[in-house]
Amino acid sequence: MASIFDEDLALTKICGEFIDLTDDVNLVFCEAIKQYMCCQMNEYDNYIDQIRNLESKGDVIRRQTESRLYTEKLIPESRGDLLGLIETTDDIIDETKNTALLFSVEIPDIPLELRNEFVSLAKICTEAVNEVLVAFRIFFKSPESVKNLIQPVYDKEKLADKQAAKIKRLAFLDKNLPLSQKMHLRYLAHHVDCIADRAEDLADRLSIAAIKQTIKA
Amino acid sequence: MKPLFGRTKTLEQKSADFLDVTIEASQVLLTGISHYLNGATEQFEDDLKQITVLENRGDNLRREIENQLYTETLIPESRGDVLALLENIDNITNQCKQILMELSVEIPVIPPEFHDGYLHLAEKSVKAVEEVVSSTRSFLNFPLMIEHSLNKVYFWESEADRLSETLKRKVFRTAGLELSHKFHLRYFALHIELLADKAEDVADRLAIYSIKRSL
Repeated sequence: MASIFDEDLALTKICGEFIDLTDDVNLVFCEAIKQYMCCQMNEYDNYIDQIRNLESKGDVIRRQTESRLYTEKLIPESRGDLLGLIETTDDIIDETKNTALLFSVEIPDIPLELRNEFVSLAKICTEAVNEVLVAFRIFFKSPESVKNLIQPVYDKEKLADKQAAKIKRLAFLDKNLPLSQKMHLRYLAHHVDCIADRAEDLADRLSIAAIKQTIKA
Repeated sequence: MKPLFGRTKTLEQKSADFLDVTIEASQVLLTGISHYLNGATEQFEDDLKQITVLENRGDNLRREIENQLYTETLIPESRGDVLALLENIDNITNQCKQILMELSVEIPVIPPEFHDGYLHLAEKSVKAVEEVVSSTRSFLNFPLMIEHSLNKVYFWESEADRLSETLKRKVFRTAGLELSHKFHLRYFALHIELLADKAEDVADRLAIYSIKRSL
């Protein structure tokens, strides 16, 4: 099947760059959480700087792409869908940056027994994002393949919910922790889990956009 | 490029009034926060009353404009964009009221060393609001000017982000504060920062609408 971008290679390239950038943010985030849990704060701060730079670059690419979609009257029939996909991808970057910043700003005290649990949660969320980015890339070339590619996103999102719930349970069952610290741990688990929710949002949009493309073809 | 409402003067006037309400609400917010920090409780409660009246007036004006757009079949090609724009601007006024309401309900204890941080944060967020209102006026009346003022919205929004982060870092590094107290302080910084985010949401919409209008 033909791609919606067949006649606009430059736009395809910009969208590809935006997906690459989101992928980078995603990978850096997972490494950053590992470093935080090992108390390697210098390493952690370096990763935060990287995420900040990538996010600013992402905003520029997003606005350029949006403007290009309108000013050059490109693929008008798919313009709205593509705008929605780009904005939802940007939401993943924003959520990831904000979550990484939470650790940097609030320097939460994570009990030893919960550190690996947080790393596992971050890994699952990273996998969810990775799966949805694969589907997004394929969407441009072969929209009919998207359906099979997004199921793993939903699976990972459910797994992330379970892992976040596990962390919250463990925190609230710990008799030695004060209530405020339990609430802090719940807050952090919730925010990491939200990254997988944003991946799910993108999967939902991709699914609809792909159906529309398939029908058109 | 022509003004969006052309010769529909009542609509033009109502839109101008609606934007004035947003600006007034943001000014009352600033005064309210300042009164709260200075312990001027009576004045603060007056500010809350004033902002509640403004919010209601904004809601009424928005509904009147929306009804007029539909019942008189005005600017059908841009109607959806204008409606979404009005609703997003209304979110700004709502957020201004929400902040004062939360201060009134939760009466957070804000240590004096953070007062400047909260005031400066509120000032930057209000600047983002002022710029986005000015961009909206351009969009409605003189779209060629819009790009310049949109850039300023993004600038003040990122300044608000930066100040909010600095304030929260300071809060979480202050010895002697309970963790729950830190959460409370973080919550208010976040909500004041959200005001600038709402201005940015309007700016993003304006950027796209203005391109569409120019085609």
